[in-house]
Amino acid sequence: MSCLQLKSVEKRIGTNGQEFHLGPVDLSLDKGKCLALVGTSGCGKTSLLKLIAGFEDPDQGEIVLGDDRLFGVGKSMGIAQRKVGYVFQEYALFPHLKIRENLQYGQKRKEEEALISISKWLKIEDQLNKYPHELSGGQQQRVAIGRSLLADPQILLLDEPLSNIDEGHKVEVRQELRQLIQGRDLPAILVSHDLNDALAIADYIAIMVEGKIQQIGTAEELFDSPNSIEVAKAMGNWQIVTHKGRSEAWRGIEVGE
Amino acid sequence: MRNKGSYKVLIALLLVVLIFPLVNLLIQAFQTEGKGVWSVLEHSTLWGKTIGLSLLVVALSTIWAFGAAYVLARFPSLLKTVFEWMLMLPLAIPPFIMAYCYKQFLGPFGTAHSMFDVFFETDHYLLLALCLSFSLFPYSYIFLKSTLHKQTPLYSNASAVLGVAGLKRFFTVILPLNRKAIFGGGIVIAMEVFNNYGAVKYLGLETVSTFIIDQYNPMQPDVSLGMSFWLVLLVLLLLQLESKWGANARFEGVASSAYSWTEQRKPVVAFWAYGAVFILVLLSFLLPVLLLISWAWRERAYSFDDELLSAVSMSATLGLLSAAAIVLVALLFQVGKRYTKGRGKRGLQWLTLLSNAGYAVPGAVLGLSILLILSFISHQLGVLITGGVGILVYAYLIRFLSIGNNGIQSAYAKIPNELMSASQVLGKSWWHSFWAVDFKLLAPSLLGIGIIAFVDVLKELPLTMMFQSFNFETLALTAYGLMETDGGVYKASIPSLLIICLGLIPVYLIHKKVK
Repeated sequence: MSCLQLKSVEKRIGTNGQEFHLGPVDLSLDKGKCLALVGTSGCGKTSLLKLIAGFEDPDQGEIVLGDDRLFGVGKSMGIAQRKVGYVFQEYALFPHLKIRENLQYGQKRKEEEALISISKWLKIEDQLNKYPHELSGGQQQRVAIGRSLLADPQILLLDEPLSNIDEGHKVEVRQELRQLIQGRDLPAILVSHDLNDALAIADYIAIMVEGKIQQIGTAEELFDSPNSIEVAKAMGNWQIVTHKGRSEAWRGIEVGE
Repeated sequence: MRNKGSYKVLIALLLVVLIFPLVNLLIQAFQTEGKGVWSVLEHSTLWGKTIGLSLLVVALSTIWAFGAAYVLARFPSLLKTVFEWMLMLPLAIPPFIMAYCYKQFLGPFGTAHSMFDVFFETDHYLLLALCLSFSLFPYSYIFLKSTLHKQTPLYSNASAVLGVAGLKRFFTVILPLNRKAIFGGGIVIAMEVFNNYGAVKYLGLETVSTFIIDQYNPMQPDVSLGMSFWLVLLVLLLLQLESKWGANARFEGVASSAYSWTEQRKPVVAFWAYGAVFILVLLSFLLPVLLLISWAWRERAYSFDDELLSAVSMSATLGLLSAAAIVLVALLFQVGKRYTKGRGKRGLQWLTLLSNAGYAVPGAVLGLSILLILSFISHQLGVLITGGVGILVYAYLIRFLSIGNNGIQSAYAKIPNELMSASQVLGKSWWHSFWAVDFKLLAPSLLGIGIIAFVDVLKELPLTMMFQSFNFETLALTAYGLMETDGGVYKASIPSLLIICLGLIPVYLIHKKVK
């Protein structure tokens, strides 16, 4: 059974002529699987994560996580009750708290054993008494993930977690992130504008265009059979062949090998 | 820049002229006959009252500022823009005018007494603290507004998503994250309280500042000198604390435009929150201004008599001369700082910082330091020099030079260095390039700085009182003088309103810049 389900979720975002419509979005995700939302800036990736986390409410639709209805039938569960692990693009580590306090912030009971175990796993056990600004970008990212996991979430939402990592370290961090997600039996949604992040980390990829999921599937499915020019472009321009012809069958652009 | 030698001599001379009075005062505090710096021991109660008052004002101002900034950040509404603007307006009301409004409103035979048959004793530190907090809280609001809008939502959301909400989130995340802004605003407000003379004196109370001026005796200045020494030390300590906290990365959050405060699902909470902000605007601006307008209407027959017109003309003269001097001297310092290279640049940075000392030091202490110099010169020349326009412009220059220095520094930060080089590479001389490029680009900022300095000079009270010469009136002096006379107490509303109207111009400029 799916762990996360979004049913016809819609939201009008922005004001004063800069509005765009997110959705309707339908998707489901099983435990232990990672879905990457890929698309250009402003296509609605982060907005969709915000709706799941509860930072904003959809205008309509339903969001279900396990046995809990997070949103639906006019009711919205409070953010603090949703059990959602959220890794912010900026990591949002509390600058005034030490790494130890940051990690334990969301724990109901401060369990030292769990803290030590996760900090060893994340290779940050030597950093516990430092402040966030004393850590590198990669270490901060791991603390942000550890903090989310220690709060015992039912899902992990990652908003552009690699955008602050320099190119030289990205390959290594992607592998770490993949192992981290697989190591926990949680569903995860990763937002990225970089296809390489999605290919390296996720099981499924959803291509978002102007607020809508254009196509969803495994990387192979999207490569082999993109359902539109937008999806083909998102998966890499090199496989687009333009052809001008008279035949109905060859009109426009054919996508393939 | 050519003629570097003469420029250095000019800067050195200016610095001596600007800093010497304060250095001399600090030395004199130790050399004077009598108790000198030890006089502090006899006045511990007064120090306790002054420090207690400043702590109370800082606490009240922070509550007003934090509350208002939080409501506006947390509950976006159509009214937000209006309130953002209105919360800056109290900056236009000098504390002595705020004290005047509340004393004449609440005190015996005041407006509340005649309308509602209730009155209060007004010579009370609590009323003084309230008046000062109404006037000064925007300093804290400016600091808090930015962090609460730009940084706090990200961390507040991070806290909520980790399962921590409500009061716990407020005390563990929101409040600590704004510690630096709260502290920064608090230091500025504490310094303003130490500096205040008019409001304290008008309510018949006493702080160290009023004591220094009242106790000053040219024949026996030891007590005033001793107290000044400790007051300067206290202010320096505060500045040191602020710079230490200011540089602490632990209190620096990340600004994020991607996350805003979560949607408020209970409109009634927003309604009451905005109601509370309106009460703050009412008490800190609308009520005082409405009272002044009603009193001015009652006294309209006397509105523009010769005395007031001469005060306006003297204020304008003083303001223009001082603003010009401030802009010119600050420009000299800042241009030198920008185009000097190597060790000289570092030295100039330090000297510019030193030239800002006049703003940190309370007006009473600065006044006393200039009085000491004047009495020395008078003694040497055998001519009594007590004040006048020249002395006042000199005093204002020391007091407000930091407005010029800081303003030009931030304006210069936006002008790329390469522009001057580009002009020189195209064959133009340094002076021509400076005039055609730097000065033209700086001109709007210089005008803004001049206006802010002009209005600050207009509102300044203790220095003007100390160095006014015979038959000399400014708007602030006229207002204060009338406030203290039984017969003309309501007439003071007219010059007070003029001061507030002029004070609105820099408030507008600051609001625009903050926005």
